[in-house]
This record gives sequence, C-alpha cells and structure tokens, in this order.
Amino acid sequence: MKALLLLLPCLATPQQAQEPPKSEVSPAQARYDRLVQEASETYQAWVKEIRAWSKEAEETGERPPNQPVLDYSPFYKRFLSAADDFAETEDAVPFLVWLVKNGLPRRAPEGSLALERIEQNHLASPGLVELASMLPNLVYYLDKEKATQLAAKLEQATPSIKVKTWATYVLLGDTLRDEPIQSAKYQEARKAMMALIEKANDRSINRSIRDEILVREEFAVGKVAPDIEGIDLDGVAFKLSDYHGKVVFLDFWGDW
Amino acid sequence: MYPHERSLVIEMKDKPFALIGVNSDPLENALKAVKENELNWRSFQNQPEGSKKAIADDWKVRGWPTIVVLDAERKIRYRGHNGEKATEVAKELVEGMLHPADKP
Repeated sequence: MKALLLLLPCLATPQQAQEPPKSEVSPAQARYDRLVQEASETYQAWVKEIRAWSKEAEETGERPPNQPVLDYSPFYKRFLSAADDFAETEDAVPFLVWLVKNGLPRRAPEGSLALERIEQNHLASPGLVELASMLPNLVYYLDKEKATQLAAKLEQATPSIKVKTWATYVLLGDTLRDEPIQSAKYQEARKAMMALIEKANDRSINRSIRDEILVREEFAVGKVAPDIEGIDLDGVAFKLSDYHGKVVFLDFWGDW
Repeated sequence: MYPHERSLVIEMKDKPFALIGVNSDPLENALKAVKENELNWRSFQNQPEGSKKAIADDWKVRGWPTIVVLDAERKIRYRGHNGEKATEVAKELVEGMLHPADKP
C-alpha cells in the first residue's frame, strides 16, 4: 500500500503538467483565501450555536447561561501576522482590510493597528475600495479629528473614484447636513460632491450620499410636502390633503 | 414606539392633530400588528398589492421609523428618526394654533 501511495504522485505528474499553471493564485492570495474560509467557518459555527441558544431561551422563557460568543481573536492575530509577512507590499492590503472591517467595529486593537498600517503604507492601494463605504463609520471608531485626517489623506492619494467619493463625503458631510442650503459654502460643497457622485456612478453611493443631499433639499424644513393619495389598511382610499388644517405626524412604520 | 404613538393619539384627540402612518409591511402583518397592539391611527399602505410605486420611495425614506411633522399648510417642520423630538415639534405647532397670542 505504501509503495503504491508513493507511486501516485509520479503517475500524476505528467497530467498536472498539462493543466493550466496554478501561478494565478499567489501565495498571499492563497493564504488570504484560507484564512477567510476558516473565519467564515468559525462564524457559521457560532451562528448555529447562537440559534440553538435562542431557541432554548424561547422554549424555556429564560436566558440559558453561557451565551455563545463569537471569538475572532485568533484570526486577528493570524491576519496581522500575515500582513506582517507581506509588510509594505500590496499583498498585505487584503489582510489589513479584513482586520479593519472585522476588528475595528469589535474594538479589537488589531483593527486600529491595521488602519495605522494602511495610513502609513497603503493610502494609494486600489485594494482599499473594499473599505470605501465604511469610511463614514470611522468617526464612530476613531475620534472625529483622526477620521477626518485619514479621509483627507485618502482623498489626495487614492486612485479609486469610490474611495475618493466616500472620503470626500467624510470631509464635506457636516457642511452638507448643517449649512443653510442657500449658503455659498453649502452650494460649493454640493457641487464638489455631486461631481464625484456622478463620476463614481455607484448604487450604494447614489442611495446614501446623493439621496441624503436630495432629501435634505426636497424635504427640508419649510418646504411644502407632496400630497399622498393612497389606500388605508382596510382598502379605503384617502389623501394626506384630507388633513389640511391639522398638524400631521406622518409616521413611516413597520412591524418588525 | 407603539405605546408612545397610541398615547399621543389619545392625548391629542380633540386638537387639530392627526397621526397618519405609512406602513411598509405585507398587509396581513400590518393588520395583525394593528389588532394585537390596538393601534389607533390610520395608515396608508406603503405599496398596495399591484401598485408600482411606494410612498416611502417617493418620500426617499431610507430608515425606519422615519417621522415627518407637517404643519396645517403641509409645510415640513421636522423630518427624522427621533420620535420624541417629532412629538415635541408637533405639540408646539398645535399649541401655537390653539393659542396664537402666546407665540413669541
């Protein structure tokens, strides 16, 4: 049996040679894929545990002890060590991005460390596009000044229009939200923002940044709201304008 | 939110005030919620069966709940997610209508 097993690789060799070369997946990519796979398995296992736990809680009417906790800490260390092995090369970026995305919201020190590395070495990396839409959230994880400084650097350095658009939004967001719409300051910020939004042509940018601007302008305090013609839950037609002369508390609600 | 809205409707019953909902649930869920929670306000169906347009889309609502407070002329006085703030704005407007002399 042993002899046969030893033979097998030799037998397989000529065939393998005819297959397309496997060099398309770099060592860094392979390591990244493996880590992500393992992290996802850990996550799935936790989902299973937490479902069983909630089910038990529902059935017994009380919280069972030992609520399962998702423990990513071994992964934080492994992603960071991988990033170290490829330090200062583009190959480090996916590992750092994963750490920022997963570690920062969970307050892992490795998450902040990863962001620092990005700031030092990778501001111009195209790989940062994966972080683009997370940029406005950085103000929750860093202090505002730090988040703003990072956004300013990114805005200058990035080759990605998406990163540039989100970074600019971090910088102009306060003006767009708070300055009077008629003011020159607002109009200037709006112009710059809209130019980027148009260029980026991205669904999530349109739905968040562009809509926020349009909502503020269309539904600003002082504007007359559009009428609503619809039907109520019993199927009876009615209009918002039926309530003319009254103060209306219009409540967009859902039962969830 | 339900208890807050319910008591607001009762408190403002005889005043120039209306709480109007725009409900985004499937109709059967909405009706169930109304029954189970004794909801006492009228709601539009956000997107009735077969309708192509949703009210919340027209109003660019992106987060729930969103509350818009309108004055008697349908001018927007508040838009946001803060029910308490919206209530405060609405009550002030109603008071201003009932006691115009008190207005600063």
